Amino acid sequence: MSEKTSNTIVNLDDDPDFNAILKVVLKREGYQLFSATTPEKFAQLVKELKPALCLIDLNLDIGQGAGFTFLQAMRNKMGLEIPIFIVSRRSSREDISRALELGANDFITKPIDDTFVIQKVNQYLKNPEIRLLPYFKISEKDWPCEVSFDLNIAEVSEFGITLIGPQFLSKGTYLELSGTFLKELTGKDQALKCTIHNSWINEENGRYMSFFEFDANDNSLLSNVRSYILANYEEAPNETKTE
Amino acid sequence: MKHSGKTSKEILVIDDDEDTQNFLKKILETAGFQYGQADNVENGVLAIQKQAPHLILLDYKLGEESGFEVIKFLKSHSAYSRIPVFMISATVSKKLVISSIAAGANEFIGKPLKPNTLLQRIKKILKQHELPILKFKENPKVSARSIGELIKINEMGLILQSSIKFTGKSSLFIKSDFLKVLGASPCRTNTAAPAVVANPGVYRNEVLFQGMDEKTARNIRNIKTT
Repeated sequence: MSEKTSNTIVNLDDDPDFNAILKVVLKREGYQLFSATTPEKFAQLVKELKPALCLIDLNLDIGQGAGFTFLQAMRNKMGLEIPIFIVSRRSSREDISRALELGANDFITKPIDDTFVIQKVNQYLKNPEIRLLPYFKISEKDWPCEVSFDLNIAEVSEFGITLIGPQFLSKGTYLELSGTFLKELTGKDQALKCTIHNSWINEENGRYMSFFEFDANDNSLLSNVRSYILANYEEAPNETKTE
Repeated sequence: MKHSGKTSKEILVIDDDEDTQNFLKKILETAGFQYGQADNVENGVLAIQKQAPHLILLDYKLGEESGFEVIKFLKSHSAYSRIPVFMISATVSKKLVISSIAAGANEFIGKPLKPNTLLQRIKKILKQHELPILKFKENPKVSARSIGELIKINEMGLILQSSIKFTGKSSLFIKSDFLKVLGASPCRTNTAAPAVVANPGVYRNEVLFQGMDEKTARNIRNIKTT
């Protein structure tokens, strides 16, 4: 992958003691750490060294919440390639979510746990096959879970919806769909429950498509969908206009 | 995409004559159509907006009002102008037929209505006026929730089993009672490796935790020893 140096890591932290400890921890695993104590120096190091990974302290001594702004700016500047870890004493759910949404790939709390940091760095920089930890089996009674993820809608007809995405949904997959678009389409607040009718690969773009039908007995849903289609359908330029 | 064809077409009849309504209701419902009715222009327009019917059967004379008012409404709204209309009337004159078609009706049908002919014409027009498929320049996003099974766990991630094969870099939020006990529900994860087929239609995905805090990682580490 590109010109990245695969064992160089750059971090931003205004605590020189922390930087010294982190350097030793990473060196053990073969990584070279270059530290910056100011945002300007950090940006300079990233530009010069093109590191494989970056760590940014959120609690920089440059004002409340400035860490978030800096993270966003760095992410915009660096593009999506370089993994960024946020390091912080704060670890509330909201902070973590916010950091991840602003472009961080992961979050490490201080004081750092050596093994934990190494695992995380290896996860992003080394081959999946050489990840260190074995998995522990969960007992069957604890298996059930709920998974949430994003999908996109490719087409809407009066009979059903065609979904598109990088996920392959087997026939019979049960889904509950929600979001602003669906609310407008169905005229309902509640999630739309559906079962995948069939799935296939789109030959043009290689993505997975899935289709499900609307409940034929739900007349209010069907008429809302029809109204939406009628209101939003645009004639293609080479079709005759019906004005 | 091919569908099972279970959805029935909806026909709206706007006519102030009760006998005609009953007559048509019987014929159309027996033929498998959804039947909607209105007895004047105002109710007709409301019904159109609410039901978005596939076809409208419109009486030329609605008490003091004219059926042309309904057609006028349809043609002035680009959304509804696509809905086909049959003008029905007890009076049949060449002038009326021409003016109905000119105003925008698709066909003119004189009373008394003959069931078989009517149904034939209805089926024909519905075939010609299939509702279009909506495609998008930018595909709208939806949030999806499904069920799965957590087979294995360690401090770094989980093995998730489900009927969904996640590929590429997918971001998943996972919730479960088991994770709740560990203080890790809901957790944010990323797919780590290509999915493995456990059985036809059943896939196992390795997903790695994103942003897991130290305390929870320790809780997971401690499961192993119990």
